[in-house]
Amino acid sequence: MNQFNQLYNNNYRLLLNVALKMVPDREEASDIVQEVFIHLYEKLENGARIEYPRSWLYKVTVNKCIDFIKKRRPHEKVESAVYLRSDENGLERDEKQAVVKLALDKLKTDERVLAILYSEGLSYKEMAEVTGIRFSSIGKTLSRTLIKLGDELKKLQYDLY
Amino acid sequence: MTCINEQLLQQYIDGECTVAEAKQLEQHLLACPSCASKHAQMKQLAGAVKQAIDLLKDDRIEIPAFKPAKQRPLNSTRKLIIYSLTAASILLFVLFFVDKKVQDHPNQMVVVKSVPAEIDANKTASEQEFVIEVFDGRGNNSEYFME
Repeated sequence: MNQFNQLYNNNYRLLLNVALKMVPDREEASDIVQEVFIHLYEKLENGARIEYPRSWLYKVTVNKCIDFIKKRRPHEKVESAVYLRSDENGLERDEKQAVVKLALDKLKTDERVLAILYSEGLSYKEMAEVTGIRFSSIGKTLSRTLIKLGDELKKLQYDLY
Repeated sequence: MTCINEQLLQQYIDGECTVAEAKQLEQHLLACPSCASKHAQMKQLAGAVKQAIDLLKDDRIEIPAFKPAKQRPLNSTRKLIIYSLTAASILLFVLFFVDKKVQDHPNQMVVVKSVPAEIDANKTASEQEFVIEVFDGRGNNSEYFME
């Protein structure tokens, strides 16, 4: 299982960061990443061949996060909205995090995933593989998504520049 | 070259253009202030948005030792299911086993004393009529009228 250990050590941090950007709860994010690696472990143990393991890992993580978000109870969104407040000195770091989460929540699911993967530095090819968006459309979708997210952040008084 | 669309500009910013495209685009940016301004804005936005999203990441993640499925700790959903099933099992045990055990006990008696609705106000409490009902463990019922 050398291949597994290598994939685990090289990708654990990246996947947990993607999960942390998508799911509000750290424990849940860690559970999701563990489940992803257990899935991978079982697949490799059964002799399955994964063509692009990194993209596969991102895809499974993103799908599990989306499932979690769909199951999330509505009051959790309200809690994050209540948490949001601003004062004359601007937003503190935890307030900024809450604002970013709220702004991401305003995007469509595929836009949110695309923005998060972009922030993680994935290539267009990898983003296309994970999201299912056509490779030729990534640039266009991405530029629109960035403008939309920038506008949402500005609406929430986030100082972008 | 005509002005550059946003898709191609984004690709250029992200290093996703071919060498030929990038060369052509750079020449156009030198000659077209409008596209050069758009390029600068988009580049700034991309950097700022990335930075904003990165506020949600954790730079101090420690990689835990991997535990295959049989050894791993329970996640919150599994914990909830297991605790619910345990609580339900205890409740069922109390309802069906403990209750039945009490009913089956032949020596147990339940005594109910009831006072008639109409009380004779001219009599003292010790002179009032009342009924004593006795239920035994087998479900038999006996009534004793006391005067």
